[in-house]
Amino acid sequence: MASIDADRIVVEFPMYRVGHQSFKRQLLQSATGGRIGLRGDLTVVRALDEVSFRLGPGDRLGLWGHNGAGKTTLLRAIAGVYPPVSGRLDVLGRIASLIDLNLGMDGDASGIENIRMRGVLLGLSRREADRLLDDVAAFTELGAFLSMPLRTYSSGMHMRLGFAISTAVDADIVLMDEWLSVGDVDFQKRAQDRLTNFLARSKILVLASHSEQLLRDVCNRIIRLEHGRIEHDWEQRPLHPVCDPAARSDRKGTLHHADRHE
Amino acid sequence: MTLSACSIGTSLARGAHEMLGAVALRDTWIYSGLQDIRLRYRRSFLGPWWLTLSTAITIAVLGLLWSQIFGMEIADYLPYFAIGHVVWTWISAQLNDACAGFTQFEHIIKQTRLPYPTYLLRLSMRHTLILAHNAIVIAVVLLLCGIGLHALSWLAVIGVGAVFAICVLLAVPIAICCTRFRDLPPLVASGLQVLFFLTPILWQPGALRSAAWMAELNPLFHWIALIREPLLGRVPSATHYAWTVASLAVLGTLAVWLLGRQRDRIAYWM
Repeated sequence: MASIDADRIVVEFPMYRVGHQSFKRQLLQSATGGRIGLRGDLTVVRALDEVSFRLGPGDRLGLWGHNGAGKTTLLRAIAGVYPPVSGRLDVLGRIASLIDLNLGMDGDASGIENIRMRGVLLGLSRREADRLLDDVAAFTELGAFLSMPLRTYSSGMHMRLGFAISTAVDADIVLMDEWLSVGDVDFQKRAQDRLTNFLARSKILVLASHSEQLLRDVCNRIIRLEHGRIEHDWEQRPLHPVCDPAARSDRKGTLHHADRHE
Repeated sequence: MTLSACSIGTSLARGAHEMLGAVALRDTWIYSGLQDIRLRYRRSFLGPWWLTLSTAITIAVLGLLWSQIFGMEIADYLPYFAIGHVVWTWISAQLNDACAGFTQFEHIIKQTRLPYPTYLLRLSMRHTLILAHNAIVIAVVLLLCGIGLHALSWLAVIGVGAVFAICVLLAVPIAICCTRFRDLPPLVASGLQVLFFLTPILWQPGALRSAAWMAELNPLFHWIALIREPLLGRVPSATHYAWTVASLAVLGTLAVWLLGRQRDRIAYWM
């Protein structure tokens, strides 16, 4: 089962200035009854403001908005990085976060070690992580380079590896910040096929983008964020759906939830 | 997943869930800790053995010096000092590293949600691998001083396990507070410096005579004794075990409670 249920979630960032992260200042303040004032003027930036939506299997949600509209923050909130300060957010299913393809990668480590490292950071056991090796090796065609340190790779090879590892473990929920496109022309086609298959095996996709066209192509629901609020929320028929057909048939039941917010 | 003022019970339950989740991800922290050490020394010829070498030199020189100052036989003093010094280095390195226990993994924390103690276990794993290298120095000193290794030495393994757990539990409040307040790490460092001199490592508790309570009331003395005593061929006293078990209980409760209370804020402080 996979679902994301967000009910009026609020994410706020405290804007710490010099004194706020100082233990000495806080101590002095409590000793002087708070008269050396810093408390009270802590600025808070509201990155997500009462955002609600509900997604089920087969849903492809597009987050559309300008820089700073809250797209990436929402992806991170779903990933569990930023628990909302108020509201309710229930996420069910294994999450793959494709926000940073180079997560945990180290220049001095070999390709193989980097694959294992990512595996264990995803919560796999060593043995499960080792099972990723063949798939990644076959796809990246890095051959002998896989036992060389990452710093000897060209940037193209580096990206190929990051991309291949990121798409090696299937997930119920995929979080993506802009569409991934890696490598030279020859490689791009294969990368797109791999990504499409990866997404088709997933149940829910949340894709953040500046580009409305991209979201119209891929998503069946688009939320336009502005200053952390939902400006528009609409359903549509994607032009080039990437979706598991089986998952699509059982999502009829979840369709009506979306109407709530229109 | 909401943040509300929560009761002690809720905090403890959340914290325990977080802590157990981290321990269960053992392949994650074991492999990443191992990998940290491998990578740090990959381009150096002796690798982590550099540390062993410098530990050996420190112990030889200081052991000679302090045995003269205390007027003790080197064969009596050196094993005591060598074990204490190596164990102290292990403990203080873990606690110092804990100051950046979350901030050094900011790039991972901002992208994926692992139970927070996983990062602290990774740090302790690193330093335990270094301890394993330094253990050679202890073994050599014990052999040279005619104590050698014997059946009782195995008791020290229990001590290492207990102190490992204690350090991870201590790392939780240190890492949380140092992430929130960025001026704390120097305070931790100087605190540890003071504790080094207060704890029987260079000197033996007997030297305090009537002020022996200064050692007896120092939990660090009892933790270290769990490792030092068996290696010196003595069974650690029940007092040492009692202090250690009590430390585990108190620090465990504190760590779990604080974790349950603050875990949802940690990412926001970075």
